[in-house]
Amino acid sequence: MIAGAELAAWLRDGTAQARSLAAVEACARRWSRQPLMTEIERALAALPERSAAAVLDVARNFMDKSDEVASMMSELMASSRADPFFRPPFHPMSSEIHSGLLLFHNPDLSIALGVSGVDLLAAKGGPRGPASINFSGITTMFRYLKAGEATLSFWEAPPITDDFVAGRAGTCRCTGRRKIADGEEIVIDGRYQSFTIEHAASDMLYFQAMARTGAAPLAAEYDSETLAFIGASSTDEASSRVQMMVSLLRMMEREDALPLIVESLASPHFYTRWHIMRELLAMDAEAGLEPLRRMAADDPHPEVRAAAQQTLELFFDGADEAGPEPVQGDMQCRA
Amino acid sequence: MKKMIDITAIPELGTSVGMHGSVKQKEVKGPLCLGVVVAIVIAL
Repeated sequence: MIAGAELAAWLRDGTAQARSLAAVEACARRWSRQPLMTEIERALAALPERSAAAVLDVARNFMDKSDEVASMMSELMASSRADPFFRPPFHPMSSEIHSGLLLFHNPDLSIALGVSGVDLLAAKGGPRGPASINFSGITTMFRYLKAGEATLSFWEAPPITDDFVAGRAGTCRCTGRRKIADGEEIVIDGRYQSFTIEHAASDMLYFQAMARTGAAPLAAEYDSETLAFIGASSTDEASSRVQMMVSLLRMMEREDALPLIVESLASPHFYTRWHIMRELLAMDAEAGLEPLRRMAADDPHPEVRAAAQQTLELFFDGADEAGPEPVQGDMQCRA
Repeated sequence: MKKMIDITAIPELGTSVGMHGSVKQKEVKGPLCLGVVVAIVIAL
């Protein structure tokens, strides 16, 4: 923790702040030019086929250079000792049991170096009730530099596909439990596989590489006691941003964005398509009618087809080619 | 006259899917950064 007096002095001293920032930027520039970082970009760009396995091979080459990563960590420590306000130029990542630094990030691959603290694991395993088993939807490789004598439980669930339906998500099941060793590598296909940490004797230090190529549309969470499906979240950052932007455009009454909103109905993700359709209908029912009819007829996802059909019946009963005749809902006229 | 529908009256999917929580959105700043580096170096 940074002492209050030291922080107050730093906040009063613009030169000191500029010095701290310059050190962070210099460190970032240095590492962006390191062969460790430039080679991984080059290798990803040169991949003939962007399969998860091929992307993870690139990550494996990166992880093989653990001495270079250790050297980078030592440099970060030295910079931090020299200036307590130095901040490593890597995004920190944190969860209940992990903390780490995001060393590399692009749309296909993220690589982090992390620690699972034995004290945090013990706290999570305490009297906090049931936990969840998360199927990330993404293929992830872990390489344990220090395994902490940890015992992992491995889980499988019905594969998460583009036509995932919560009502048919079933239950997950434990497929095995074993202790892992220092240096061990584990690849988890998050579309149907997961693991939980049962116990660890000491901190676990690991590389984690996430290959988003071929990812499932969503991550699924199962209850650790009932093993039943309990929730889902998107694996696609861009889709979530589009959803939020379309909602915002509707609230801002930006009718000039209607062509873009209609275009975005082509999302590959069923939940995004329906989110956008609801926003479109709320913005301009007439503009949404034809896309809604198409959705009801041939959307690949059964729930989207059913919801579209139900919406047609609820709001457009008797609608003909001349236009919609909504029969229910909050009709408004902005004229 | 523009026709609009109250969005709360439009059916929702039975499969509810939450927003994506990206690695960057999960980031935390400040002294924890140094704590992470220290934790990694100690473990190394």
